Amino acid sequence: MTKENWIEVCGLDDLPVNAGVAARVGGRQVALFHLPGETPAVYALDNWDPLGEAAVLARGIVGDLGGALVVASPLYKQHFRLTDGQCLEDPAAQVAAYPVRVQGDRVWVAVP
Amino acid sequence: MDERPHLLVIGNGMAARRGVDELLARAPCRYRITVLGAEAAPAYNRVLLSAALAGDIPTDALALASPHDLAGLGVQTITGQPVTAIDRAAHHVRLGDGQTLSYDRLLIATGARAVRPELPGVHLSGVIAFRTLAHLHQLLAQCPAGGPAVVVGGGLLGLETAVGLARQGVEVTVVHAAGHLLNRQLDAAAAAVVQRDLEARGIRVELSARSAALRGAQHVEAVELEDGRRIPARLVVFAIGISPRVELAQEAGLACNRGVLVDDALATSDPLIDALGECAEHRGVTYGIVGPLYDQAAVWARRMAGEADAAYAGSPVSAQLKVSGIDVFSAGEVEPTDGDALVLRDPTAGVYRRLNVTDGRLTGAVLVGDVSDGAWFKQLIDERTDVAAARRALAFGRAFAEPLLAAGIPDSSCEESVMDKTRVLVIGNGMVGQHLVDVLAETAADRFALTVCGEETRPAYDRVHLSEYFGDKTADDLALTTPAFYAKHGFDLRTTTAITLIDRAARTVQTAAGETLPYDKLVIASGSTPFVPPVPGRERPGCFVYRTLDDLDAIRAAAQGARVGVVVGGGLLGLEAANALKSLGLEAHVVEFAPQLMAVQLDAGGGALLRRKIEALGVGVHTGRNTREIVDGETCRHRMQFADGGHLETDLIVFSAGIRPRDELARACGLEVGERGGVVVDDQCRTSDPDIYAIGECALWGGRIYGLVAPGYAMAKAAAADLVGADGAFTGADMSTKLKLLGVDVGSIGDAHAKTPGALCYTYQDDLAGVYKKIVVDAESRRLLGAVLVGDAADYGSLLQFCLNDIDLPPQPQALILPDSAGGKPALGPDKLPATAQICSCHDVSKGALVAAIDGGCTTVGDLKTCTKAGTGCGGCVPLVKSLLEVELKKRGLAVNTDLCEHFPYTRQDLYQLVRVGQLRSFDELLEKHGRGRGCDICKPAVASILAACWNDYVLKPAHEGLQDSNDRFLANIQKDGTYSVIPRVPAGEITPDKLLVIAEVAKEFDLYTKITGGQRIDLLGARLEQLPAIWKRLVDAGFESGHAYAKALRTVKSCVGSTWCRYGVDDSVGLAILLEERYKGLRSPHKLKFAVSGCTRECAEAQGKDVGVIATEHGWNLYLAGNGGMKPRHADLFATGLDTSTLVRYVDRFLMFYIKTADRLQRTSVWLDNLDGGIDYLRELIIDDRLGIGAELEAQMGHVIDTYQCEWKTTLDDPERLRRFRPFVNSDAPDETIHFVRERGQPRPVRADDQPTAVTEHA
Repeated sequence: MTKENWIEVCGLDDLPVNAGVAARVGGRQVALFHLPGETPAVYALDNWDPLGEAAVLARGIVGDLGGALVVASPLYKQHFRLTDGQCLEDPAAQVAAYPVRVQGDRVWVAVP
Repeated sequence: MDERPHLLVIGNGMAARRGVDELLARAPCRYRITVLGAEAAPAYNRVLLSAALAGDIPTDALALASPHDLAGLGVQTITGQPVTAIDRAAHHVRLGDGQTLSYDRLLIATGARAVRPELPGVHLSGVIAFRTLAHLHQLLAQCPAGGPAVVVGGGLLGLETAVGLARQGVEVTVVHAAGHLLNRQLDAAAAAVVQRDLEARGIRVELSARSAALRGAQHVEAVELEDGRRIPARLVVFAIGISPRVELAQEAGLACNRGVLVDDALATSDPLIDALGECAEHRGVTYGIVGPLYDQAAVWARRMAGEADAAYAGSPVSAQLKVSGIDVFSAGEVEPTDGDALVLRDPTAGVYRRLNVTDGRLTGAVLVGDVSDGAWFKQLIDERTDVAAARRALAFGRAFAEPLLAAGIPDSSCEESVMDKTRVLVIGNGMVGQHLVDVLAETAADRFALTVCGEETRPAYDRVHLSEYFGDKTADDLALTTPAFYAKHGFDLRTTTAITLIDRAARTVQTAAGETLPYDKLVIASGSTPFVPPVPGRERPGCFVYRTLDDLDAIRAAAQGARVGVVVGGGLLGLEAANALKSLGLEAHVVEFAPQLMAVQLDAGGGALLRRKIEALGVGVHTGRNTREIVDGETCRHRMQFADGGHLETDLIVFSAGIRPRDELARACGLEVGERGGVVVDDQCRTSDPDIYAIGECALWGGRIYGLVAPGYAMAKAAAADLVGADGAFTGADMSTKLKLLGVDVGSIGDAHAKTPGALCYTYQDDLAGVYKKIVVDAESRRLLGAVLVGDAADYGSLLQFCLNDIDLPPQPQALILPDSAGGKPALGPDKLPATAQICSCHDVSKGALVAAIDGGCTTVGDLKTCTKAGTGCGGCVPLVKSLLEVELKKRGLAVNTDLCEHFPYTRQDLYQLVRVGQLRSFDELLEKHGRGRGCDICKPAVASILAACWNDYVLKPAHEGLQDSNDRFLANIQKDGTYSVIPRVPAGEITPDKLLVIAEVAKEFDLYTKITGGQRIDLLGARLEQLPAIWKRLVDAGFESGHAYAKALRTVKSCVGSTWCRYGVDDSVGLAILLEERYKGLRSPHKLKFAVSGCTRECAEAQGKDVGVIATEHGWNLYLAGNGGMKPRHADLFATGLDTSTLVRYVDRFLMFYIKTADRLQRTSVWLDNLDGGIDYLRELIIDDRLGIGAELEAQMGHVIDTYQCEWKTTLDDPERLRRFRPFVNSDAPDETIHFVRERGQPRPVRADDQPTAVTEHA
């Protein structure tokens, strides 16, 4: 847990608003989501969709379902919670969620 | 060394092989298996030996193939090696050549041998017992000698052998010891049917005959019978039974009786040894037919595979077989017993049935000819079902008896009932005659030998929609039945067969060809003839009637080169005919003797308005005109000279001045006919001869002829009910009508002319809108007696309900026909209707039926249409259906939540209005004003689509970007591996070679998988996100535009090559398709849209399967709407005909915009139209008549979308900020390492989990 590597990924301006974008963070593909109205405003999930089996979660639509912030897989539309990567339709499916910090206008993500 | 336990199988016949196959299917590797066959031949199908003898199948087709890889599983088969001994102590068997084989488990399946009686001469050559493949070859070798042959034994095998030999050209006699053939399976009567058939094939049968000796020197020459007769024979085949082969088991000390004794586990008295098949005796029974043997094989295999509880409980014996092509079935007792016998005989059809019923239970069934209900009878026997309720009906078969069993009403008659099929002859194969046939086929096809004589060349067709024959319908489309239907039910349909005479004494009819046909019951459904007024000149060429397809063919032919057409008769059918002439491109006129049109159904006011409306359509109306004579014309072929001195010139005249019942046959044979024609019938539609019925337009009931199809159908039902002995009566019919004549809605209910004493009328007339409505009420204003509606028949459905169900009228009945704006029309609540109220008159659907369908799970109008057909005819009842649905759903507490999602408590239609009216330009604005939360993947794309349809901004504006589905967001279609497909627009599928070259170059350069789509364009697959801009740069530079394949938008307009090239083409389909595709490209809609244009009615572009389909005709474009292919295909509805291009485009503009405005999210046009109140008619009013006055607005909105079109890819390529979004990663340009391709058939495809790892290549 303590062995988090904080990596500077990009500027906050580089992130599309209310949408996702893929980033490479320490050898992983991470999906970053920028929701300016929320606290925190940036979320990071693993980009790999375990149900669709492709690296595409960054391209899903973000929104909320029953109060939880989610991204919908662009392939088969399952919803993954932005805070912890849990799939709402399939309890067995979860993707990694990574800590994010915004310092100044730079976005940092911690990966194990 | 194979360490598996060794299973040895003695026998290589069908039972043994089946046992091995079943075992391998369950436990393929559990045993090492060796199969020992005594015969030299590999395993073969013994059941089919006689079929091979008959030449029905080749002998090499007899081989039994295993579904398993026997060699791979280590199964060894040794043939030609009989087992000579089983040594149970040593666990081995000894073979004929002396070698021994050890076993861990042993299966005895030695089968049986054919019985050969101990008779003098039985060992002469030419005498065989037919059992093996070797015997078959022997018989086939002997056949060319030509016989004669004697088959001893008239059981199944014997008869099959006899038929086989006869087929080989051999003269055959069957010698059978019992009093009738097949005495184990059939009773004497059934056997007689079979015997007759055999004798018809030249096979002689000697019953109660026993052979005493075979005579001959070396080769057999004759069979000598016990009575001393000699039957010459060069070939004698014994087929007198089989006996189980038990010697081996007996010698090994296993318990044996007739067969090897086995328990329910199929184990012999030695636990390591099992037995099955013909050699085994289970609970005292040995089986000789293959079904039970296979049952045994399955049980044995399950036990061997480890299922300890698998047990064989015996097989109920029934026999279904084919003897010389006759189907025979028996189950239970085959001979008559002390109980009742129910017998059905139909010698002409070769059908015989005998059912034994003892104490209310079916105990035996013998069926010959038609055995389709055999399994059901057997089930009744096995389950000891109480059949008392259906006793008499039982012999008629399942279709007839099962409903009675279900109803459970006991039938008390107990006498032996012998029933032969009733011969029913129907004269006339029109709609009503056919309906009778349909009803009989549904309820009691087995009981009747039905013959139908129609004088037309075609089987029955839909005369009501005759005029559509000049539209897009073919004769096949209008057909109501097929020869296959008749064949299926064993009914006899004779077309082109006019009847000239009924002989009631002889109960026969005579055909025009001179044939005499018998009947037990006769149904006259001869219909009517058009009435042609006795006008001099009516026989001139170019004068027609309007009744049959042949008439229409003649009219069509005469219309070639004609300019003017006149219909004589301004009634319902006359106006239909005028419409038909108009659709043939003629200048049409209607000449009517009465002072108004449709004098029967309409009052003067209604008739006057109808006249104005029809005249406005360009049809000349001449009422109060009496044609005196027809002479040569000056400007046209004919001149109609009227009694008042006026005249009308025309090239073609169609008489449609009423009908006359065709009662001449009835009249000639002395049946009672009415003073003014029509065969007098009672409530059962019986004529004055109780064996003769009359139905339809030829029948006179209550002094009245009914010229509509619905009463005709009701008569057919009543007559059918009487024929089958059920209750049912024709008690008159409501003649209310709603129809569209030349596009004008007309409705007439009940007492339209207010003839009821004391009747009061309320009339509403709006000359500007062209609407006339009248209701007729009783003196107390309590009951609705009748109504007339012209120009607007929307109230027809509810008014009819008031009238038919005697529902109390509201205090101000006039409100029923006043426009809504006049202040709250009193709605007829569906609750007021009784369950029997007919809601849909086209398909006779009652309120009760609809409620039942709702109980059954229907929750939308579309569901109800599919389930009950209600509302799929004229559509007039749809509003009532809808309100009934709403009321019923409410009763069940089923509030239908139509909210788009949790973020918007609105439907898509509501949101569209909110966006449009509120001039809202972004999702955030809409959410803030009308929604809650943050949105989701349901509402965001839906709103993005609405915004695009209303304002048509660039879809990737930052405010819209996050709303778009991945496809719209990257302007390409995402594939399973996260790559994209690229489809450039190819309008109408027309493409230059240069453009093709560009596509080819792009595909090669980016190594894209290339496929032609169903929409006549080219799909390039396997593009990575970051490659999309470079690919599109090349395409856009070459002049391509986005194909919007990624969007819910117009996809393609498919076309055939059209009149430019095609020798059948009527118009330029490619040109129109390009025009349409260019016009509507980029239009965002609730669902994807597909169009097509066909250049002629051959319809090569499949336009009727599209949202918008256009077909070229000689008179202009025909427009079809709301079809679709896909999962639930729907044929498009013909919306309008004979359009010019600008009208067509105007209609399509309005249609699309109205759809976009009112459809639900992801609702295709087909589903949308099915759920639209008023359906296609409403759509026509809205689009063609502009009833709501929104046509111009819809066109303007479409105009905005068209004017603001942009190629999204071109815009994107010009915007460096946008292009950054196509980087694979926000912080890296290294491609996604998870995407891999392999090559297949020369192209890349995504790697699959089951691909060999070596085949994976890194994508460059």
